[in-house]
Amino acid sequence: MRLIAFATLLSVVSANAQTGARKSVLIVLPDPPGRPLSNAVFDGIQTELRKPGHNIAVSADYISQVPKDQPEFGAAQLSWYRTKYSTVKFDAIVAVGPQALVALLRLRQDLWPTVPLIWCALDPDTAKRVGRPPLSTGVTLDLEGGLAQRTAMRLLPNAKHMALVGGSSPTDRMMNNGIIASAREIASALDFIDLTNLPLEELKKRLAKLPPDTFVIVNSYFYDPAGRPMFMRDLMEAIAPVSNSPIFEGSEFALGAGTVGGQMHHYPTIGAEAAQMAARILGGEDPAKIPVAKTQSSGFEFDWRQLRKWNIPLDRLPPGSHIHFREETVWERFRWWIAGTLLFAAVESLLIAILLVARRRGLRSEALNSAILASLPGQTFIIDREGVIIRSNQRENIPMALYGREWTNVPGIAPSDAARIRSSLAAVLVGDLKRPVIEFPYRHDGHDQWIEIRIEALDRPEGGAVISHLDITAGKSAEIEARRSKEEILHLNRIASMGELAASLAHELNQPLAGILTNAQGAIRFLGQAEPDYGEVRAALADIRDDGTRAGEVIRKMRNMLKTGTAQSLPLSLNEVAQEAVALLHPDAHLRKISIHLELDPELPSIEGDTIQLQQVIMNLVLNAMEAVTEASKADSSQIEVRSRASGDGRRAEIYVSDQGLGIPPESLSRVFQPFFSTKSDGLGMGLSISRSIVEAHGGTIDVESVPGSGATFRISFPATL
Amino acid sequence: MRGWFATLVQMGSPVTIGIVDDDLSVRKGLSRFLRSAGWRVDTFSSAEECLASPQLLSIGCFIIDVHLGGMNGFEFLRHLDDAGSRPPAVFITAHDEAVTREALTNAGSPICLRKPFAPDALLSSIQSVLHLE
Repeated sequence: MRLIAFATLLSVVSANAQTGARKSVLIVLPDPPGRPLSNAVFDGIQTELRKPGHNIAVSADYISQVPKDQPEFGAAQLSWYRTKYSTVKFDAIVAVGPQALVALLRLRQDLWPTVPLIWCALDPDTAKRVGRPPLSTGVTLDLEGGLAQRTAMRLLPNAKHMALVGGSSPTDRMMNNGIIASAREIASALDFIDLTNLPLEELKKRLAKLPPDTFVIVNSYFYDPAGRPMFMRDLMEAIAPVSNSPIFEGSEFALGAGTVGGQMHHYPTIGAEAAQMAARILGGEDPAKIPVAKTQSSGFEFDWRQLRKWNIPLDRLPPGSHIHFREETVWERFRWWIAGTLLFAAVESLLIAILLVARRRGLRSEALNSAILASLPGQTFIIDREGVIIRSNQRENIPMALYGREWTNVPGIAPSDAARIRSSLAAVLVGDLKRPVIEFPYRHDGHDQWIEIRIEALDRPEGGAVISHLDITAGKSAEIEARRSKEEILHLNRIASMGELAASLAHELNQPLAGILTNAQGAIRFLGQAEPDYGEVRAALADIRDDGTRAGEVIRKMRNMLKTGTAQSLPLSLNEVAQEAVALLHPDAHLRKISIHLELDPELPSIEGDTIQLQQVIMNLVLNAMEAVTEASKADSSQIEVRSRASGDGRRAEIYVSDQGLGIPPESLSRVFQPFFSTKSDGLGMGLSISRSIVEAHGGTIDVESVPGSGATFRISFPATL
Repeated sequence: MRGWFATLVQMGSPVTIGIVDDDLSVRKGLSRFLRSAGWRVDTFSSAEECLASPQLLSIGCFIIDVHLGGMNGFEFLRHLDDAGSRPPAVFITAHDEAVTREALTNAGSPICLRKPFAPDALLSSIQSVLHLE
């Protein structure tokens, strides 16, 4: 057992591995994830920011609105964000939509008061209410309040009633109130029917019983009264079939689900515009000097089937309107014509026609699907619910044996990764998991690659999934390289401060020791003279006493520094401390071909203390164990165990560090914790002594058991926090 | 041996040993030990103090700490050299880093004891540089 000079005193964990001028942007989206509108804007932002030439890291997060009756929700969200982003810095934040912006503004003063903010997809009412917060700019939708209402009135000039459908979240209420206010301004003669804030079943009943000459406006509907998120398309599909009046809704995502239509926006373009603003700000422009942009509507779009259903003549549509789903009605008309003209032959013709159209459609969608599949980078394929591949883009970057009923393990993919992929796939196929992303290494032809697998469930009755494999080796290598250089810096820091402390300790102690030795030898010589000079002897002894005190002072000061210095006393988990310590030493261990086995007790009670100091203690014990293992150089023993355990009565948290080195001779066992005890020529022998000081300052104990020849186990034990 | 050192030794005068070290413990211990061995001793806490001292001319051998505040031990010796003669000297140091070792090599590898040294080793070093053994 070699005890090595140890002493990374404090603060080794401060390496800054940020590289160069890479900027970081946070995109804040409204909860819940998956809204088509948010996704479309997000895609636009992301595509723009990831363009070559921009060195920008894009992160995204979802933010929730604070429910009125749950004020503690706000504090909890703030605290969660604060914890989550305590070590992450952003250079700009983009908020998508009114809900995310309003929620973000509540947190911004506390979290990111100096980070520029760019909003987008914001309705004019909210934009007016929010004004221009400091360091912000953005993209506002150029739609007047009541836009859908104006469209409805143009198409249905005889309407007498307007019903408003809306959700129940704070944003919903705010936006719907805006609509109600403008409704009266636009047409005071219209009778207003409030259908906001109703449970879905109630809403459906009311929609079925609306008076004649009514149109329905669906405005903001993020959450239903029970607080459940609602997607516009789902809402529309639920209410359109039962409503006795035409429904107008102003987003392209509901088109085809029952809305008549209206003025639309192209959301990816809106995202891209906001992203361009973000890029300008990252380039140094003052956000306050970038004017707020207004996004023009991409035009009017309508559903042909709805226009027909409500008998709306086409000449009432605004010029330039785009009409969708016209094809199906052409088909319907065709069928009626044939049925009206011929009987038997008509039936036959009808069948032929159906077959022809179906085939043509099939061929066309087939061609489209193939083109989409072929255009995708990497390998993409579709499997049925049994896991059998039914379609693929004919590129293969990992063997398909990984899938299917009779899957086998694939050489180059770790069985644990293969198992992970298959269990994720199984979970997606039964609907328990959505859109998993799995990264794993794949060894192929002697090269290490990284593959990313994404799985997306197919939204169809017979189930199945789309799977894509992407080679992400390039990105991953960069990431690994960055992490490795950070670890190297940490390692060098540690070595440097160890060397420094050893040198300054040696110097501080050498001086009084030189004094003690020369004084003692001088005193002996004086006493040996024929007429001893007792005055000199007395003075020599006094100097020796002083030098001894001085040497002791050096040691005491150092211990004090360790005990109080910057020591903190905070609740902490020894499991996390041990994990970090082992992670820091991992590169060392790897280099020496030593494996460190970590076994942590999930029931370990928390203790109070200083994380850095305790980390040093554990690192020292592990470093010693590594020395012991290296010295023993037994082929089968290059493993170190770090275990945590709650004591029998649960009142103490303990860490064990075991090696299978040569062990410690019994006569040395009692001395290993003494200062300057070292078996190593270049060791100061301070490591375990300092460790003991730290442990005892934490009210803990340290001890060791060893069987010579087969290793040693050090144990540190601390009282649990009550 | 040249200069006043040679003269001093040849004249048979008892040699005074000059200790230049910025550490009080070391100065006191070394001084007492050398006196117990029969030498006359003068102590200086820096090279500058020694160079300015009237005692300088009576010193026949130096014990010099390598790391002094201000001028270091080698520079001090070079100053004496420039003044006309290289005195016999034994270096002592509390450091043992590569930098110190390299500096010693560059200075012509004079005798250098690393603190804490065995006191009797200092006596034999002094006798060696004074060619007394």
